[in-house]
This record gives sequence, structure tokens and C-alpha cells, in this order.
Amino acid sequence: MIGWSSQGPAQAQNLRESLAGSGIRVKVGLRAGSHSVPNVEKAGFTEANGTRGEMYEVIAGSDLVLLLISDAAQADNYDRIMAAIRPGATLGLSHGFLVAYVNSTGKAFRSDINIIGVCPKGMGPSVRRLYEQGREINGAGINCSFAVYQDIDGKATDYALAWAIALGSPCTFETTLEHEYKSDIFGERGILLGAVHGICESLYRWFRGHGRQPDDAFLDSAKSITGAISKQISTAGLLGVYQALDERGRQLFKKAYCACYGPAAEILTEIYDEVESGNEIRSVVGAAHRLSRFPMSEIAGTEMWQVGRSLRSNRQSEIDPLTAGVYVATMMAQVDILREKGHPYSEIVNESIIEAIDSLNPYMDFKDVAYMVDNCSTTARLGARKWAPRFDYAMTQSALPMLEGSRDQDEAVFQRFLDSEVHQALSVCLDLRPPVAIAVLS
Amino acid sequence: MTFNSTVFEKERIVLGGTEEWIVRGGRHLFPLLPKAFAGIGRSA
Repeated sequence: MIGWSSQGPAQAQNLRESLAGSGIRVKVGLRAGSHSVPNVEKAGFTEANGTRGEMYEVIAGSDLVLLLISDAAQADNYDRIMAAIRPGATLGLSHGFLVAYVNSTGKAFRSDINIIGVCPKGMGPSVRRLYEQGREINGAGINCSFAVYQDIDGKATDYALAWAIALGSPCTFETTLEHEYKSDIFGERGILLGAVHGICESLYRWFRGHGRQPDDAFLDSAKSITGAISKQISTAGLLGVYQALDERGRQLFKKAYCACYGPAAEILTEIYDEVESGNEIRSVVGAAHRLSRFPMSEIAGTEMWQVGRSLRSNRQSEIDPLTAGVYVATMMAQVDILREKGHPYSEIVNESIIEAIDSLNPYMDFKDVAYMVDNCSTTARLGARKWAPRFDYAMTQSALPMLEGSRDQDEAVFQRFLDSEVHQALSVCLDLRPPVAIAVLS
Repeated sequence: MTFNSTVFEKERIVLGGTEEWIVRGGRHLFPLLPKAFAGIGRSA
């Protein structure tokens, strides 16, 4: 197990516990001089008992290498890591970034190792907390997708499934690492982080410009999304949001949906193209290198987040029809693009809908947009900062002004929403969720 | 998409008219982990 940031502590401890008595030893590898040494030792992975070591020694000495260091570190140390893995060993990844990096640079993986992925659908602290809850509550755990990228000995599928089960995954879906990284990097720039940030900013200003007081503008934009709308999707699906509205609300939802679907789809298509072409990966590596000179910027400085943080906690949100139409339209545009690109529905639904409502929005609900975005990976944090303004601009310039005009709605756009296959797929996947809350807030 | 495991049982689901396969987890499967991890033994 290489690395000790978000996934590392959770995965190392879960695997050690699941494999107790099996004779398989979990050893944590850290780069020389790592600040994580005290935390790793505290978790019981010690140099003295032979379960902690220098990362390249651990890589060279292991049959299964789970590489959980940051994306930038994976890219910067790619050649040395590859050289250290012994022939016939298995390289495990917890998302597809390294495959994206290899694709974008024209490098090639070694052909004499297995390469697999197990990608938990929650942050590291959730992977650990739900595993612990799983001792008492049957079925608690974070669902994972798994992928076999290269199988040299016929064992790669069982290795991947065993890894997922040992992490406590109650339900494991199949994908490919190419689909996984595209869906992941695209999705976090879209509705999971970047788009929802941009949407909230534009809607808050829109409501303020149309006479709502700061508290109400916040409740009807960000709080409505992270509260009532997320809850309704979680229990009744995307159609359930529309169906919960009265007739006047439904008309406004439809109008907002039709106004926003096109502008959102345009930016999302651009993001997908950027990820698929490798441009976005190169951009991330470049941006990560600039961080030493220009640290990560602040993102929760506007009026709305100050209002949100001081809002009285007893004020509950409702489903604002306009906000719901904008949010659901953007989410549907993301779903439709992923489907068009051949992603499996399990991945689309888990990573573009369920991850948003169960895993990420609760963080924004708890505090602010920065608390959600900045609890994610550096790749995600950079992507959200880069793309959120594009969504804000498109909503402000193109979509929201259409609500005031009397332009005809594109009925076909809305009919496609009503008839979409995703509603059935979502309903099945909602039932496959663990029976406990996923987000770990503190 | 489909896959084959010699250790774990898979289950068919239908999503949006397409077939997918999942594996349900749980602590009762932990005794099967050594079999599924056959060949994984050495660590530095």
C-alpha cells in the first residue's frame, strides 16, 4: 500500500482487518522523509513490526502494489515506480488517472504485470467509517467499481474483486479504467463540483437581482440543491423532483430545464473532449507544478457563502422549481453525454447522480462550497476552479435570461427527460446503496 | 460487459435496458479472500 492521504489510511486498515489470519501482510510504503510517518506508525503500521517501509523498497518487494499516492506524484514518479515493480506482480489503482497520464504522454505500461482498478465511490474517511459500521450494520460499506486493464495470468479479476470485498464494498460494479478516469475527471468538473459551484453562484445573484433577501436567495439556490432537491432525488429519483411540484412549479421547472440543458451540454461536451484528448490531464499536471508559486485559490469568498455560514440552522430548504430545473438539466446533460460515449449505466448513475447527492452535496450543505471541493483530490480541486466560472458565465449570459423572454421552449428536450432510460437505472442503483449515510462530516 | 470469477458469485442486473453484472460483498466472504488472492503472499 503506497501513500497515506485520503484513501491510503482507509484502505490499509480495512485490508489489514479483512485479511487478519490469512497470512497476507499489508505493508505501507512512504517516500523518504514523509510527514505521514507518525500517523502511519500510530495506525500500527510500524517499521519495527515490518509493516512500514520506504516506498520503492515496498513496491519492489510486493506481489500486489496498491498505488494510492496523489495524481501529480504518480505522474512525476511514473518511470521509477514502473521500474520498481517486479515481473508478474499486480499494480492496483484506485482511479484511472495513471491510465489517463500514460495515454496523454504516449508512454506505455509494462506488459509483464497485471493492472487492475478498484475505485471506491466515496472519500477515504467514508471508506473507513462505513467499514467500521459494517461490523454492526449488515451491508454498510462504500460501493466500488472495479476494472481489469491488463491480465497476464488469469487472476486479475479475482484480485480486483477480492480487493473490493476486503474494503467492505457491499456492491461492486464493473467498468474499464479508461471509462473510469474519463467519467471521474469529467464528472468532478461537471455536476459533482465545478458545475454545481457555478450554478449556485449564478442562481444566488439571479435571485438577489430579482428582489430576494440574502437568506432567501441562499436557501433557494445552494441550500435547495444540497437539501431538499438532493433528498428528493435520493428517495424519488430525478422525475420525483419534478413530480413533487405543483402545476405552477412544474411550468417553471420545465422552463428552467429547457433553458439550461443546451448551455450546460455545450460546456460538458467540451470538458469531455478535453479529458478524452489528454488536454485536461496535461493541464492538471501543469497546474499542480504551479501550486508552489500560486497556491490553491479561495473559492467561498462571495456574499452567498458568508450568508450561508451564518444562516440560522433551523431554516429548512424547499425545492425551488427554478433551481431544480437548472440543476436537474445539468445533471441530465452529463448523464446523456456519458451514455452517448458508451459508459455503463452503473457508472453513470453512481458517479453523476448518487455521488453528488449522497457523497458530495452533504459537504457543501454542512459548511460551504470550499468544504466540499477542498475535501477532494488536487485534480478535482483544480478542475472545479477551472470550470465553475464557465458554468456560471453560461447560466448568467445565456440560460437564465431566457426565463424572462417569451421564447418557445424546446418541447423535445423536455420529453427526452421524461422518457429517459436513466430513471429506471437510477431506481435500481438507489436500491443497491448501503443502508447508512455515506458522507463523513466533522 | 461481463466478467468471470472463480471465487465470487456474480448477479445480473438490468439498467436502462442493458445487462450488467455485480458482485455483492459482505463480511461472510472474508474467508474466501485468501483463495481469491492466491499468489499474493510476498511482501517486502
